[in-house]
Amino acid sequence: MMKKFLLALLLVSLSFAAEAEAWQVYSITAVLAAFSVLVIFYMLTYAVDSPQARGMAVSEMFQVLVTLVIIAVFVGAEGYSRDVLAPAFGEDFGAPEGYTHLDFAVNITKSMINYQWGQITKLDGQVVRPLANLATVTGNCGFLGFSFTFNGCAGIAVPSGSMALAMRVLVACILSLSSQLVLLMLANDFFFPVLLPMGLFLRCFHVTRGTGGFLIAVAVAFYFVYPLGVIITKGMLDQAEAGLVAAAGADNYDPVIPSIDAPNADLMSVESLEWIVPGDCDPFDMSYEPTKTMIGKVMNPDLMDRMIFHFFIGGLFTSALNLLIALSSVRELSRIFGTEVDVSALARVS
Amino acid sequence: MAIELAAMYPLSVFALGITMIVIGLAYALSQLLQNPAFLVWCKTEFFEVFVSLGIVLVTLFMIGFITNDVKYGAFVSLLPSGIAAPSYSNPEIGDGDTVFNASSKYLTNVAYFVHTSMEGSRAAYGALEVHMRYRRMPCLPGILMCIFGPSGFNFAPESGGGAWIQAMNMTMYTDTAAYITVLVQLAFLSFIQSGGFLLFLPLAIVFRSLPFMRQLGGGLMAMCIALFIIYPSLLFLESFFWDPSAMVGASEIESVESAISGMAGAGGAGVGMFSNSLPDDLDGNVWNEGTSLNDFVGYREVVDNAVRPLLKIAAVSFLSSTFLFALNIIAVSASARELGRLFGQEVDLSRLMHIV
Repeated sequence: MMKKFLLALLLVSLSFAAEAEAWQVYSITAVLAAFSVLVIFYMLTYAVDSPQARGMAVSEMFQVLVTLVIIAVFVGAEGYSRDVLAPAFGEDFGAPEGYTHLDFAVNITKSMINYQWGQITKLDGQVVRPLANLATVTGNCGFLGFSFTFNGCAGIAVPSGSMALAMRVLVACILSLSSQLVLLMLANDFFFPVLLPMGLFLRCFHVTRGTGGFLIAVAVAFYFVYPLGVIITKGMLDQAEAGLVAAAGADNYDPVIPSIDAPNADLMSVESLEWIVPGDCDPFDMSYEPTKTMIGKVMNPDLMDRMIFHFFIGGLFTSALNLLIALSSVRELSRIFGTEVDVSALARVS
Repeated sequence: MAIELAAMYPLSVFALGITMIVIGLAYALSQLLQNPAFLVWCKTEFFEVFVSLGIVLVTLFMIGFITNDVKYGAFVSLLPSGIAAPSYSNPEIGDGDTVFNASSKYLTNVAYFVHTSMEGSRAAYGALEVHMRYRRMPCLPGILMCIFGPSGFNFAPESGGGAWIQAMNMTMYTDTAAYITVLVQLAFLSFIQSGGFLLFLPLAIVFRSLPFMRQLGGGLMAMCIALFIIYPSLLFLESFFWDPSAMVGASEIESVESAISGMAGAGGAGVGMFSNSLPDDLDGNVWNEGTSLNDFVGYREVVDNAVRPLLKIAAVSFLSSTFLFALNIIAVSASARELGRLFGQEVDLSRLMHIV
């Protein structure tokens, strides 16, 4: 028994020896507080002469020891991430010194959001706006109260409507990645520095072991598993991307967004004596050709396939997969650290 | 509290008295019938009723401590030097605020944040709607021919705004769900704070000693502890580390707020004008000054200054309200279950999640 306590004291002193981060200080303080409560409880068992309660207090002190070992494992895991994994990543990706796995995950997510926003604004400027503009172009021919209306461009409303729907989905992809970014920040600012010490404290007592185990599991899953999931799925994405780059050529790899010409927003008059409507569609021409041309432009595989890859796979699928991995690990880790907790409610919310 | 905590102490002792009377009657009956099983039950319950009272008194003391003695300022001073204390301004959380007050103010700040996001989405929606419906009609052939009739073509140059409107519709939907969730949390907190649940504690003393009712009594105690102590404590703790405005960043909040209040400068109309307020000189601002769309808030300006930050703000709003709330409820239900087991009954508060 004495050896176990000596080991516990050693772990405490080791934790303070290094330059401790906030979560380490909180965790050790929480465990010491739990230990103090148990010591008081242990002394009270002598006052009321209850050997059964004394046995319980000793058993709970053993749990304090287990909790200290858990802290030591987390200190080691964080140190390994900072001192071994991060330099290895840094060597490959040229990251600044001191980067952690979480910094990598945050930067990966930010760069994906920036890339996707760039593609969306480009699509908006070159396709969505001019296409919607063309779909509204109507020709009028009037003289002294008589007039005719020509709607030769109305068919363009079909591809334009599809593009509006596509934009909605693309924005949903960015929203999904933004949520991933916020979850990573939440893990760094709240789950690990707050929930982990709180969970460690609560797991020292029999009554609150389930809650403590769940909180530890959430902190570990979102601080370690989730960012690693982000990094790994990005690696998988990059591998798949390499095949696409090889097939398309490095210069032609990005989605090929066509340029559609429509009447200028500032156009007030046409300085011409001919019936020429500027842009890719003439409303006085009642054939289906402009509509067919526009459908061909937006249904181009070089646009659609690459957009789907970057947004659906890179945005929606991977972010859902990362969350699923993290939540699955919460269930398993809860079993290890405390008790089984139903996380299906969180999964449904997510 | 609507139901005074102090009133619960005599009520608990009264419940103890009632239970003792019931046990006394049972004891007399056991003597009359010479039933040893009855006698054993009476002796066991005589001990258990004091255990129940002890648990209830400790719980009441803890609730009183949480409600009156734990102050926000004392906890802020415990934060390590590397971690900045959060700064809430809608409303401000004072050093003297208790756990319930601080939790309530924290939720109000989250609600304000989510409302800003909703307002931004609505404003951008309205601005884009105006852009979308704006039409022009250049004359053909040549401007002089217009004097004979409306010959030429007309078009809506910014009708592409419809695509962004769909996106804003989506963020408004997310924000509305998030806003309702925060309001539900506020209502839930004030319901707990009103003290109705406290009545369960004296009741639990009686129930724990009645035949076949111990589990119910234990369940009531567990529920009280989980809702009165664990749930507000989690919110209180979150208020130190989870300030959604700080997470998004001041510049992005300002960008959206200026988009709501008006960002085009002198002579121009703000995005907010189109959906949140309609000043008298709307015609003067929009239609009579100049001929270019750039005279009022530009389409691109709306997308860059309002839509982009709104996507991030909507994500933070959702996680601050719905996700964290789900997490709190799961933690509360886990602790209630464990306490329920200890006191005699397993309680499943996760059903609360379904109600929400």
